[in-house]
Parts: sequence; structure tokens; C-alpha cells
Amino acid sequence: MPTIFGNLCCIVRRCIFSVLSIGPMPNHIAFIMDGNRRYANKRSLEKGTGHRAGFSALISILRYCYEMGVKYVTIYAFSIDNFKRKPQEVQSTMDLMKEKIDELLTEQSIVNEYEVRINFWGNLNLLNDSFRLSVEKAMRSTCHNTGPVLSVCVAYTSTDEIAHAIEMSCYEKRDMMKELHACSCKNDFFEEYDMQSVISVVDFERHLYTSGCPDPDIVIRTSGTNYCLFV
Amino acid sequence: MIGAQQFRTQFFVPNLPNPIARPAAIRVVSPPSILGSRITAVSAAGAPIAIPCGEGGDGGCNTLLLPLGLCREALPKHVAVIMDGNGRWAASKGMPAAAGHEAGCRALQGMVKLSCKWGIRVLTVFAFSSENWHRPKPEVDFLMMLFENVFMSLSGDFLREGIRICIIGDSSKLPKSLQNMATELEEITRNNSRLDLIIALSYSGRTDIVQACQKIAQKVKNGILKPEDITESRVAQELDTSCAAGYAYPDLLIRTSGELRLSNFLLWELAYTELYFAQSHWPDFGEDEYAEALLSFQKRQRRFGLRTTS
Repeated sequence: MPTIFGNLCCIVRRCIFSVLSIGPMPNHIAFIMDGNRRYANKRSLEKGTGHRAGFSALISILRYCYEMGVKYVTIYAFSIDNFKRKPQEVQSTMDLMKEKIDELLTEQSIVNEYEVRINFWGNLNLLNDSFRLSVEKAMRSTCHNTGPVLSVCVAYTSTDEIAHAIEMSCYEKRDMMKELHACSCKNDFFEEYDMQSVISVVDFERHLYTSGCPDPDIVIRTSGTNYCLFV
Repeated sequence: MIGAQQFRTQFFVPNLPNPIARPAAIRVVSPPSILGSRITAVSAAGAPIAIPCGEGGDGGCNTLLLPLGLCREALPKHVAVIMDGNGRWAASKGMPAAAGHEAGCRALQGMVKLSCKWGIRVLTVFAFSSENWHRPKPEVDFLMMLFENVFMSLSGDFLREGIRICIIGDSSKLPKSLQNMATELEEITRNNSRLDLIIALSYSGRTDIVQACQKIAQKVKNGILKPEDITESRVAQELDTSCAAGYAYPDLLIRTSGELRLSNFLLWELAYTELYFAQSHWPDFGEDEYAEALLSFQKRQRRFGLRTTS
């Protein structure tokens, strides 16, 4: 009986989504998934249960997004500022995320069902080795998928992303200048040097983690707080 | 489209009221009884205000008048505002858009006055975005003229009230006369310290980030800086908004008219800013609405990525 009820709910949901899909749909939704711990505290649940419940909610939301045809979903999983929390909490959060990422790569997961391509955006050097390896494996094994794109922001802040993009742009220009200097003849050199040395918007954007992905159409933040850090 | 005819109205400087020089009228409903007691009073706008009294009687304390419920220590130091809705306000009253912009100017003066009174240190306002250049030419020309007239008529008040003016944005696109006026205003108010009023004119958050990137790249090219030394604080120093000494990042962003987006305003700076979206159009955003926004700010729990309890 639960299965029949479940199937019925699924059918009703898909009908509602079909109706919704007639109107304008966002191409890219970004989620700031706030409130896991408050959810657990409110229900007097054990520590860590909130994050697990948050992950289940995420999988449901991803399914709904993909059923509605949303091509890009970005989630804010862990900020660089969250590293300032207690070490045990940081470690257990990292362990949980690694466990869930490994789960997502199994046969029966939503990633394989919809052929999702997963990106991880952030300063991945800040992650511990085993977690970083899982992250790299997830990106490698889904990089050829042609379905919707799931971008997970981990060890991320927008200001760090921008500073990193500026640093990379400078490295790129510096290397280009050296190359130009090495192989240009004197007459052409100064003209080429001035034209090429300006970093353009395009150069800069190319070095953002988010390069290649359209801007979010809507940001949804749960738990009633009103700030961004996710521009 | 409405607008083409409306912006040929001449704008006369003497018509602009001067609220900065004139404090709001206060009706005191009960006299002070003992030293240290609170006086209940009502502002001209009808909002109840409590006047805290210090130890030395009311001689030193009557410079600070806060709406009830607001606590001075918990007020934001830096408030940013997206002043949206002048055109819609005017349309709702059957008036031309020019009237909306003029009313918007008056609302801004009111907010500057209140910010001074309530001890806000920095006020950043989004007056004209880089995208606004695509509006009809008569409207753009009118706005440029309005800005110039406002700067000219209020420069004395800014000096008197201790307000320091900074203009951020791509000033090269502004008319020469407005550029000169803006530079002069920044120069003559340079040493003021009561309130920093940062006016974003021809401004784009993305462009500000890219120009910071270009300035840094130039320093790398000239050997002043290594790429490895590029940190967030280095980037912040090169942004236009570094002129707000001490409180570079807004604590509170207010956007009027019910729109729920940033519209390319202060993208870097708003990382941890509390966002407040008011339904009223900008010309209607007065003392009550401002107090409500500040009250909402005071109720927020700002965690900056940390936990509040263990």
C-alpha cells in the first residue's frame, strides 16, 4: 500500500510540475541550505542528524528540479568561514559529505539516473586528503555526463573565488608577456605588449570557478535569514 | 513611452527644501521629572521617540534621538540603499517621472539627516547604475542635471553637518560639469568625519571588481606585487569602495519598491550584509520605514559562518 500511495504522489507531483513548466522556468537555481542544526535541535534529535536530514531533502529537491527541467543547480555546502567552527564539527561534516559523495557515485543514485555532471567549486586545497580524493573522483567520473549540472560549493566563498581568479589572470598574463617577449622582434614588441597586457572582463571571468555556467536566475535560502555570501 | 516630454521641465534649485539645516519638529508630551529619566516625545512624523538622558542632565544627551525599540550599540555602522521606485511612485500619483526623481532626492536628504542623527557612520546609496545609461536620453539628461543641482545646493549643508562625500563609479561617462562638481565636493568635504556619504554614480559592481583586477595586474606587471600575494584584503583595497575608511562593508542593505535583487550593486562588499526589502517606493521611505528596517536588523542573528552556541 505505501508503494501505491508513493506512486500516486509521484503522479500528482509530475502533473503539477508539467503545469508549472508551461510558464517561465529558471535555467539555474542556487540553494543556500541553511538550518540543518536548528531543524535537529527543534526535534531534539542527535547531533549530525540535522545534516543527514538536510542531505535527504537535497536529493528530493534535485529530483524535483530535474523533473521540472532545471538544467543547473548549485548548492552551498560548506563555506571557508565554516572552518572556524569546532574541529570535531568540521571533521564530522567533512566525513558526512565524503560518505554522501561516494553514495552519489553508486549505480542506483540520482546522478546516474539523470546523468548528472558534478562540479565542485571552492578552494579544494583546504580539504583533507581523503575528502579531496572523493571530490576529484566524482568530478572525473561524471565529467562526460550530458544531463543536468550539479555544482557543489565546498570550501568556498565568493570573495575567495574572485581573489583566486585575479591571481590566475595575473599568472596567465605574466606567462603570456614572457612568451611574447621571448619570441617577438623589437619593432612589433611594444605594440603587442600594450594591447595584450590589459586583463579584460572575459579573461577574468574565464578564471572564476563558475566559468562556463550561466548566472543563477534565483537564489533560495532556507531558515529565514537574509544575507548572501553567494553572489 | 512616457518620459520624453517630462524631462524638459526646468529644475529650480531654490525650490528644493533643505531639511538638513532644519531639524524635525518635536512635540514633548511630558516634561522631564528627574535627572536620568526618559522623556517621551513624538517626532514630526508621528513616530514615538525616546530621549535617553545622561548623568549630566540633558545638555549633552539631546543630540541623540532614537526611535523606540532601537538600541544605539546595535545599530549598523554602514547602511547601503538601492533607491528604487521613483518612476513607479510618480506614475501612481499621475505625475511625470521627473517629479518622482525630485521626490526621491528629498527622501535621500531625509535619510542622510536621520543617519547623522542616529549615529550611522557610512551611508552608501545607489543613485545611477551603468545600466541606467540605456534609459531614454531625456530622462538621463534630467537626472544628470538633477545631480548637479543637488550637489551645488547642498554643498554648504554637507560642510556644516560634517558629511564627507565620496563618488564611486565610472565618472568618465558623466557630463564634464558634473564630474568637476563631484571632484570639488569630494575635495571640500575631505576632512569631515560625522558621516561618510558614498554616492554610486554610473556604477557597476562587476566593473569595480574587474578594474581592481586590472590595477592589481598592473602592479604585478611592474614588479610591485607577486601573484601569490593577491589576497582578499589586497583586492578590497583596490575597489572604489575602499574610500569608506573603517567601515568598508555594509552591515545592512535596504532596497525599496519590493524588488528582490541586488542589480549589480556592491557585489564584493555585500558578502555578509543583512538584506532588507521594503515594499514602499523610495520617495515614501521616511523615518518610520527607516526605523523599521533598523529594528529588523537588530533582531537578526549574524553568524558569519560560525555557530552562535557550542
